[in-house]
Amino acid sequence: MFDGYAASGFYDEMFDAQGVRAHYERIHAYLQGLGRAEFERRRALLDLAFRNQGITFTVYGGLDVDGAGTERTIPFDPVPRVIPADEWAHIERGLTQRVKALNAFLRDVYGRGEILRDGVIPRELVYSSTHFRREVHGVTVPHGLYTHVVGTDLVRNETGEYLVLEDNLRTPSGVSYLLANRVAMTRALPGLFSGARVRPVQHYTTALLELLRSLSPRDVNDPTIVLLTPGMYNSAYFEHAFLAQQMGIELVEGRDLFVEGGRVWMRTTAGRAQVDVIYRRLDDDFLDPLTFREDSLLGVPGLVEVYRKGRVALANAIGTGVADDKAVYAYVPAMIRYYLSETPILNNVETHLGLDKDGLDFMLSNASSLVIKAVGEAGGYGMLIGPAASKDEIERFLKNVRAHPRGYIAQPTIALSRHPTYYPDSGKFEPAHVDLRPYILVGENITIVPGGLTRVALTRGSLVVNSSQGGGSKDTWVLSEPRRERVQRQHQEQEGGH
Amino acid sequence: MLARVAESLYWIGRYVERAENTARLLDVNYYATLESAGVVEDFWEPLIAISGSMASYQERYGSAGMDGQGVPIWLAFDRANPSSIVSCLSRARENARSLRDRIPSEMWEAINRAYLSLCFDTERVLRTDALHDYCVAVREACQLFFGMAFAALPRDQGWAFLRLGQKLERADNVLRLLQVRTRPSEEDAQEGAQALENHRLMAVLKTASAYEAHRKRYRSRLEPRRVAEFLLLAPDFPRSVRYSAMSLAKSLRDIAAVTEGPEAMRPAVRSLLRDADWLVARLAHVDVRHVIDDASPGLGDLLADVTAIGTAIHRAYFTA
Repeated sequence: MFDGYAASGFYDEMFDAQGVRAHYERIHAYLQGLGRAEFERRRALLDLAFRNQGITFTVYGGLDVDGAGTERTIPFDPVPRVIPADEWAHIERGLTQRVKALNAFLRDVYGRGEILRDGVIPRELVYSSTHFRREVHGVTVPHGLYTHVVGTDLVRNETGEYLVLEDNLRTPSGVSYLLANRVAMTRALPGLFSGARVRPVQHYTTALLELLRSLSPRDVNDPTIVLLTPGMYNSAYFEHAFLAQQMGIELVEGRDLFVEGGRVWMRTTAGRAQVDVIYRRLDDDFLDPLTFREDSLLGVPGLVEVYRKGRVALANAIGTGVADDKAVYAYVPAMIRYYLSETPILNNVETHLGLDKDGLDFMLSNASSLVIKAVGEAGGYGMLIGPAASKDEIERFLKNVRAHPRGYIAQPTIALSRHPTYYPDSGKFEPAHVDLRPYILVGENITIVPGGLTRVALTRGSLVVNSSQGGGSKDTWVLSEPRRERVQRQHQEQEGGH
Repeated sequence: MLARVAESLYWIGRYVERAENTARLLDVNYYATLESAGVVEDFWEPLIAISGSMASYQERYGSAGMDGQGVPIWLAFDRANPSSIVSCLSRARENARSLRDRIPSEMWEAINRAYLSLCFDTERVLRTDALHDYCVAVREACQLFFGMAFAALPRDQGWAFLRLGQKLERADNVLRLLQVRTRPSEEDAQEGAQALENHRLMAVLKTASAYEAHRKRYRSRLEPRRVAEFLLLAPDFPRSVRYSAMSLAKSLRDIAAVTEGPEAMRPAVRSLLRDADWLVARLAHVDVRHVIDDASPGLGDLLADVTAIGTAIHRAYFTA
């Protein structure tokens, strides 16, 4: 099934010039041994399991026969992505450093604004961000933390270096697929795991619950924690339900909550119950019609006032979006140097800002070789991929860029690494571009489950991995160190300590 | 428990029970028509009356088409009929989806599978003469769902609300069945009426899964009054109206035991419990002759009682 596999031209996760990389040898041999018919059978089992369990996301716009949004399962590719222990250790260090700096930045811009005063980041950039919320300036948050759940998108370039493509600090989604993928894989391809030293991931929800509990403003044994969802027509509804279920907390909609007497309550069959912590999967704009969008029916009128008084905690905090603005992103390395006095461990992708004149000129004159993105968009929307666009498309897109230069950034097209992926139509493994979104939990401690969601661009030749654009996903394995090496390393560390 | 969650569970109970009842109604009567000596039309119109959708049917189709094509399509597949099997399963599934964090994943998967396999590609069913298979599949899917609930749902409020919906729907359904089927028919006076009546009563009992249970109790000729008495008043038959009402009242007490504080019971809850006890008491003491003759209480009164309890449940628990 690997016949004719073309590993050249890009960094390939499984193969190097010599052949199969060491940490993929076992998988490669196993898949070869399985044969096409048996592989197809297992793949069909996986598809059926996802369908029956309703592990879906909702595609906006499309209507099915019931008049609801169209639910789709995310195509799942059974060839796992493998990350060796040392690579993961590097990623983990880099992400930890990054989220520390991002939280310091949020604390700063909603507080004294030192980084702005010192001219490290232009004041205008921060205050003009559509996600900057002056309504929460000066609000104190538990542990001084703003963003508790972070999903950072990483890509690998042609040399295999991991680069940060963007940070998602508001309501990053996808972690449920990571967890569901693992369960499905262990059932359909158990043999693949035996002896592979795959590190477990299922402790994510326990860690998330602990984190949420630690945010409770009320000093009670059993604070009431809820997950606030926009409802079952939201694209990530499966995830909301899944996480609430795994944590054993109530999944609520705005209409289940109300504010009275300076507290947030939920409506129960026995009357009202006070709510302490809200893991909200609803954007700032929709949280509270009295503070933000008044036409929103999804939120809770009066919530922000209670939040300001510190009587309810929100995860993530309000206003975190200012730090995942795609233009502010360009300054994260500067934040790391400024707040932590450290050198960034993970690099950004080279980024040109429409906000500054040179950046804009560069963007306008090199559009056909760049990826240009709207700073406030996500999910692969509002994006121009220069090399794949026609002259007309580029010209139309640049019109918007000229009109609102602050709203755009440009990056070189990254030759994203590729990974063997099964294509049913050819019955073969073919290379497809992948990225990686690890999930970082930031509380008193920082927890990163080993791995993340590997998204794969299933359309041949495409660089877009978003599920809303037809991307799929893979199980992602982080391997633990072989025992021999681990002992050796501990030994060396101890010697170094003397 | 969140009011919205309780309401969804209640409606899931109602929809799944309704889908199952409709499937049985359709299955039994469709095949009964095949040997009903040519008076076929007489079998179809009442089915729509039993399902309580006569007005919307006439609005959509006029009075034409109440035959072996139109009625099964309306009762099983038509999404314009909010009580059709397909509508019920879709709504039950939609409600289950809105609380899939609350119900065991086996329950969710059971209803999701039912939806995926029974709510699409429905035209094929009549085209291939597969209505019986379809109805059996619906019944099994509904039973599987309640079976999962029985096996995996903690006996908390959620369980009680699910049962509440199921029992209320069942009482309502059996009352409607009796209302339509015990009406004196013109054919009764005619020749061969006895065979036809026997045939009809068998269908009534089978529609409520009660044929064999009734046979075991009364080893004689089927009599309309006895059939009605069994379905209405049997204290130990799980589909009888009386049994459903007793079980309904118990679920309501279980819920109130959890939701009402030790100091005082909310007025809406107190009045709801009183309504339920009143229905149980009526059914314990009534003489079946009065009910059938539509004296006091008649089937219409009992049906109104059931509807009133439904409304009171809403007021007490879902509009907090």
